[in-house]
Amino acid sequence: MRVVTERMPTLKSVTVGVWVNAGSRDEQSSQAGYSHFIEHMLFKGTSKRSSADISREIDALGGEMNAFTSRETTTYYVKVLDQQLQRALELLSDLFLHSRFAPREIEKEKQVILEEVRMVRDDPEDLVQELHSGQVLRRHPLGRPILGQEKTIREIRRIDLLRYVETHYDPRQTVISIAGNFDQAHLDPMVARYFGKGRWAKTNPANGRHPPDLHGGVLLKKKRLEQVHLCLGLNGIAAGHEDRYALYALNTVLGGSVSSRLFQEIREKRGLAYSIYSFLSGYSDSGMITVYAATRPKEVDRVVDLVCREIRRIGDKGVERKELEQAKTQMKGSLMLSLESSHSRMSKLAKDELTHGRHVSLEDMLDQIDRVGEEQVLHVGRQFFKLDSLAITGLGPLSSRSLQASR
Amino acid sequence: MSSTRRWPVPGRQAILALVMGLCVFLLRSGPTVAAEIAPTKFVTANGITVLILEQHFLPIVEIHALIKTGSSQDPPDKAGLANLVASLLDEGTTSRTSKQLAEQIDFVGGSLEAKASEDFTTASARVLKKDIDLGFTLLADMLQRPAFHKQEFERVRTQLLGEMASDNDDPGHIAMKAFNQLVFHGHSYRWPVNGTEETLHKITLADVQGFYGREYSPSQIILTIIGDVTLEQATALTQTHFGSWKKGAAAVRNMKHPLPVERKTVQLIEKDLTQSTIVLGHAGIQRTHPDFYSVTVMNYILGAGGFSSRLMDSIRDKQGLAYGITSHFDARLMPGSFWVNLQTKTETTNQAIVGVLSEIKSIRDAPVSDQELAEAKSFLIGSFPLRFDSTAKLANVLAQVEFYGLGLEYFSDYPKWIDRVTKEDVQRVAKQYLDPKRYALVVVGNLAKAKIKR
Repeated sequence: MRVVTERMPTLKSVTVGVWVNAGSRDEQSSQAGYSHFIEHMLFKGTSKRSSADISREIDALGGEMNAFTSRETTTYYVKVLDQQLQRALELLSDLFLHSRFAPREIEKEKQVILEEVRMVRDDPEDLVQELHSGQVLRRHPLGRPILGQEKTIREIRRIDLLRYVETHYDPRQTVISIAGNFDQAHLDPMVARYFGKGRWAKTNPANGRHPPDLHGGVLLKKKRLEQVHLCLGLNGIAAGHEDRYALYALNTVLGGSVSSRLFQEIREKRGLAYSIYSFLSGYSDSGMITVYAATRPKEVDRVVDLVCREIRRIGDKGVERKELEQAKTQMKGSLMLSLESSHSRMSKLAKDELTHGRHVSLEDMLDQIDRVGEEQVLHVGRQFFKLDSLAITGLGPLSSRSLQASR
Repeated sequence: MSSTRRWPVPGRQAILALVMGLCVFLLRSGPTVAAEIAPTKFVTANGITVLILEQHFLPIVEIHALIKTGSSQDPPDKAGLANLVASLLDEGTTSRTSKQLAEQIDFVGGSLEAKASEDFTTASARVLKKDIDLGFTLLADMLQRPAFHKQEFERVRTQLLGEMASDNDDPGHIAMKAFNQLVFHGHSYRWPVNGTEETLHKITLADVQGFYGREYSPSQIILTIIGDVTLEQATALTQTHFGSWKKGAAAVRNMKHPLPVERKTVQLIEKDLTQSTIVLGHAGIQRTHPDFYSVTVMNYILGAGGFSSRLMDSIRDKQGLAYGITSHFDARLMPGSFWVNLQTKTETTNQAIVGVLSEIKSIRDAPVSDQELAEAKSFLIGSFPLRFDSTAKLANVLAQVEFYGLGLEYFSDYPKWIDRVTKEDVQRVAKQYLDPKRYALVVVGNLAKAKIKR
C-alpha cells in the first residue's frame, strides 16, 4: 500500500482516506454494482464488530465517516478531530481488512441499495446523466450505472463479493491518504500497525481497462415532468493528460462559471434555463465534456441550438486573449480557495498518487495553469469542440418533433 | 452522477451546481476549537453590528452580511418577495451591470452569493486575501446600491419560475411544500421561500423597491468578517465601504406563532414514481426556547442524521425500507417544525409510516438507555467544532449566534448545555414536542399502488 500524507498544523482536524483503484468500470457486466455493494458491506460487520457497533463507534468519534464509489475508485474516509486519529485509523482498518460479509446482512443491504437505485430513477437530473453515459459509451463498462442493475444486485451471493474483493482490493493499487494535523513520528508506526498486514490480490485489476469509443447521436426519453432535462456530450481527455489545463480553461469559458458563455447567453440574457453548466469528467484513459441544462419543453430546440453555437464558436475561433487570461486567473483563485480543508487536501493527495504516481504541489499546478498558451488552447479547441460526434440526451415531456434537426 | 455514497448526505439540495472540473473538492474545513472563537464585536455609528475574527493560516477572507429579513416578512399574497429582492442584489447595481459583477468576482476565482431564507437573508463574498478590497467593494455595492432594473427584474422572475418548474419535478420538494402548508396554516412560514407561481406573478417592481427600502438598512445588518485580515484592516474597510450608508428606521416585526396541527391530516399527491416520498410531522420549537438542547439530544437519538439513530436502525438497517431516513427540528425565530422524511418503494409505504410512528411513540413512552444518551452527547459535543471548521461555515454560525441573540459564549457553553441534558429531560421533551396522533402526513407517489391507509 502506498501512503501519502500532508501536515496542516494550523488545523485541528485530520482526514484519512483509503482509496482502492477499482470502481464500476472494473466490473464484468454480470458483476454490475459489485464495487458499490462492497462499499456498503464494509460497514456491516467485521470479525470483532457488529454492524450496530460500527454505526455507534462512528457516531462516538464525533466526526464524519463515509465512503463513495466512482467509476474508477472506491474510497473510505474518516474526518475527525486530531486527538481521535488513532481510534479512527483502527476502525477504518478493521472495516477495510476484516469485514465479514454476513449473508443476512447482504440480503438486507440489497433492499437498501435497490431503494437507492429507485431514488436515481425518480431524480431527473441524475437520471438524464445516467442515460447520457449509457448513450455515449454504449456497452463499455464506463457507461454502466455505478449502482448496477436491479437484476445483478438481486443475484449477488457472498462468494461473488469475496472473489471480487480478492481480485480487486490489491494493496499495490491502494493508496492511504492522510491530511490535517498529525505528528509524523507517531503516524508512521500507527499506519504500519493498522494497515501493514493487508491481503494481496492475485491480479492487477486496473490492467483490464481499455479506453472507450464515444458515440454521438440523439436519445430522447419521454417522461411526465415539468421540465426537459438535457445532456450534451463531447469527447474529452484523460485525467493526467498534458492538455488538461487548456481544456479546463475552455470549459471555464464555455460553462464552468457564472460569467461563462452558456450561463450568460442562455440563463442571464435569454432566461431559457434556470440550471445550466458544463463539466469535465477525466478517467485514467479517456474523458468527456458534458453540458447539462433544464428548460421548458418548448425551448428545447433553442437551448440545444445555442449550446451547439457556443461549442462551434470555441472550436472555430478558440477564445479571446482576455477571456483566456481571466479563465486562468479564475482557475488559480478557485484552486487556492478549494484547498482550505483537510478533506479536500486528502482527496488531492490520493488522486495525484493514483493519476501521476507522485505528489503535484500547488505551485506546480499554478505554474502549469500559467503556462497554458493561446496556441495550445486554439489547438485543443479545434480538436474537441466539434459537433460531428456530439451526443444529445433528453428526458421529459418531449414532443415527437423535438430535436428533429439534430437527429 | 460521478460517484455515489454509502450514507445519504443530509441537506442535499438542488442548488445551482457550477462544476468547474478542476475543483472537485466540495468540502471545506479547518476546525477551530470552540474556546478560541472570540471575535471582536462592535456597532458602527450608522448601526451595523460588526463581528471580526482573525484567522491567518490560509490567505482567505470571508465577508458575510446577514440581513434581518426573510420570507417570513413577505406579504401573504406576495410570497417570494424577500427572495426576489435577494436574487436581484447581484443582478446589477447603479455602477455595475449584472455581467460586470459576475465577471469581476469570477476573474479572481472568488464567489459572491445572496440568498433568502425564512428568518433572514445572507449576502457574502469569499476571496483571496489579495482581493479583499474587491470583495468589500462588490458586497457593499450589492447591498447599498442595487439597481433593480425592470429588465433584470423580469428576467430573474422568469428564472425563478424555471426554478419552480424544476422543483416540481423533485418529489422531495413537492412533499415539503405541501407539508409546510398543512403545518403553518395561516402563518408566514407557510409558503416556500421562493414563493409560488401565483404569488410571484403578483409581485411588481415597486414591491421590490418598497421591500428593499423598508428592510435593508444598516441597523438590519450583521457583518461578519473572518480570515486572513487584521482587526484594524477589517474595521477600516468596513468604515470605507459601509460608513456612508444612511441610517434607517427599525423594521416592524410580526412574531405570530403558528397554530398547532389539531388532528391527523393526510395529503396524498399523485406522481408517476417508483418510490413514495413521505414527510410526517407537526409544529416544532423556537431557536431561543430553553428546551432547545434537550430537544437536540432527543432528536439525535430519534433520527437526526446519526448512523445509529433509532429510525436509521429500524427503517433502514432492520427492515431495509429506505436508503436514508432523517428527523428534523427546524428551530427558528418563531416556532418552526418537526418532521421525518424518507423515500421507500411504493409497496412498502404503509409499513414505513407505521415504522416511523412506532419510533415516535416509543421514545415518548420509555426513557432512552444510558448508552444512547452518552453516545448522543459524545457525538454532539465531539462534532461541535467540525460544524464551523471553514471560514464560510464559521461566518454563518457566528452571524446566526448574533441574530438569535445566543451570546458569544455560545461556543464555550454549547458542550455544557448538551452535557446537562438527562434521560428525564429527553423523555419529557419527547412527550411535550412529539405527537404520534396529531400530525400532518404527506405522501407523493403512485397512490393507486401505495394504498395508503388514512
